[in-house]
Amino acid sequence: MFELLLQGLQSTLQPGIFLLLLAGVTGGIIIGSLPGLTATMGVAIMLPFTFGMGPNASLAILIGVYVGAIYGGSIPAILLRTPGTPASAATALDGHQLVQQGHAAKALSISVVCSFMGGLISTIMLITLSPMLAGFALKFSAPEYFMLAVFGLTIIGSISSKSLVKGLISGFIGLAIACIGLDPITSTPRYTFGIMELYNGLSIIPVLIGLFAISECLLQSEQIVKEASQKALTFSHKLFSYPEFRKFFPSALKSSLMGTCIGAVPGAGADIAAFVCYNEARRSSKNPENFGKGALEGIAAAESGNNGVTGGALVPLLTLGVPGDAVAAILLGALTIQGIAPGPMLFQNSPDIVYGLFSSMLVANILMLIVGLAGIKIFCRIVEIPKALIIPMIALLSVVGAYSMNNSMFDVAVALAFGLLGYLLTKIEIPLSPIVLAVILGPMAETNLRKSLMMYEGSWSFLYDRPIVLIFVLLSALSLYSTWRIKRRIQSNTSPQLAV
Amino acid sequence: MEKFKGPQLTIVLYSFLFIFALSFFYLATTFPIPTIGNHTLGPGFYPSLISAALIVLITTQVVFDLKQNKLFSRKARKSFPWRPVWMFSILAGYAVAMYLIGYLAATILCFALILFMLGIRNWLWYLAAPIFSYGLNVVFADIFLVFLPSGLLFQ
Repeated sequence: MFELLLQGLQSTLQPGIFLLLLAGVTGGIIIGSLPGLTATMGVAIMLPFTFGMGPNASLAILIGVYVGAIYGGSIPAILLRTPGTPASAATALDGHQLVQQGHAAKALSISVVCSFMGGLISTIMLITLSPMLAGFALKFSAPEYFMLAVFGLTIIGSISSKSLVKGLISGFIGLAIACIGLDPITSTPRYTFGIMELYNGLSIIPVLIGLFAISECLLQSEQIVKEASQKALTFSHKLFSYPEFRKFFPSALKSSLMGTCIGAVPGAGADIAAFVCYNEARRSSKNPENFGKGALEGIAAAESGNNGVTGGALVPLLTLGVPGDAVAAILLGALTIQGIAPGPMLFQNSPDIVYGLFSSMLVANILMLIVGLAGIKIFCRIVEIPKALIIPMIALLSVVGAYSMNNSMFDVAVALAFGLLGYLLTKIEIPLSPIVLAVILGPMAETNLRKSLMMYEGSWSFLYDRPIVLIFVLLSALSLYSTWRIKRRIQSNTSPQLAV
Repeated sequence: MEKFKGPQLTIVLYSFLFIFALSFFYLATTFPIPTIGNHTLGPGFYPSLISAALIVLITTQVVFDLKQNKLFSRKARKSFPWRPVWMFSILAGYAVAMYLIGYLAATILCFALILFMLGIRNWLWYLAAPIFSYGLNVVFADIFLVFLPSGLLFQ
């Protein structure tokens, strides 16, 4: 195996392929950092350019874009509270708080190092444990998917900082929104009112842009008073320290492993992984009350979790020929164009391609770390731009970003509507993150709940009949219990202060 | 000067959410019932479950707020918050303008309008409008081949 890996590395480090990989990573970071352009879109845009290339060069550039874009999404999420990709929505929760406290460079450095950790660990797991992980992922059926979604939804409790009921209201609004479109089982139109654009449901990107970016612009426009007071945030150029690294390292390590496992499950992407890992980090933290207020572990968990998916998503693709997510599906297309059929025989028939891909992933992650760290000072300049100048930029970029996803004015209208909704809900202190989480997990929860009930003829016994489901039931209960405990602890800590 | 005391936003929004949840529930009951398999697991099963939960949650929150006397307490403001209204109107107008006169002209115009609305009177700041608009167009159209609207009127 090591011989093959060395051969793969030799091939990847050839100047031509290396430069393509570097261009892919840099381009991916730019794509990811632009709201509206996702990792999937970036890889899809690059695909036609790879038709004339050899298999290793073709995979190198696509892998570079994939790895770069998943990280790139965290840059605007941290600096502007506008997630570049859905996978970085969880990063915005603590990342932007840290920027508000003047630690933009620290937040960005944690993000890039943890993205690197997530990517590296998932690649190592991809290389060593592919067949085993594929076997685990194959055991997932409708009940397991349903409980995975429920486990993900339990995070609503922990991201509802002030009131659990308000958090749940927000989550259920998101679940309701996720019902719009064709019914996943019978294809009956639901809440579409004859509007064709609604038949596929609402795209997550315009919803995300509206809730996070446009609503923020509306709120900021209200707070800006006069020209003289429009000073930019000042921030420290300091990256994280060694004691801080020791503090978030366990969380990043655990999230990298979790992200890889979630990525290996077909259909569960980087966005789900980021939220699940964030929730787990909060649950197991000694200081859960710091989450949502700039907790370093929060950024670490979300970023290592979403980048952990990059390797995990390739496990079912390479071992079974089943793409784990949309990007893996495009990579499947790229392999097919090159005349390579992914599946169990791939490792035997084309080991040079497989190990070339593994080494491309390893080098892509190293390049992402270098480009990301080198770019921190440049990215931080964004925070130095006065607010009055950055507000129109974000507002107009949001509209353009919503349009660019499908070249659709309807998506722009959706983004604006959700911007207004986000603004109004913020006014009555209803948190917005649960809506996003529920819109992402809602379709997975509904489809698999109904499939499970059909499989068990209307009985809910699947909740205790299947071992993996039972594990998720226990994990969900544990997550809810720990959230309840954390809230009680926070209340008992703050009550005496309030009394004073 | 008399302070502005508009309608209590919390009541308006909770009423809106309640009506939304009720309508959602009602529409879920109108979806066709499957003729084969389990009749209860049709397209309306899950939305009615979600909207029923939403109705219960909103009612619970309203009861909490009533108990804590939060629902009818009004916070007087110096004036109505016009800026978010203007901002939203400009963005909605931007979408229409982008469709009609194209991305570049619409972006320059709306960028300048937002700066003006935010109280910027230094003309140097307005130079950012064409630079930003052109730069973004280069990134989207020339690098990522995502073409922004050229405008219905100029086609």
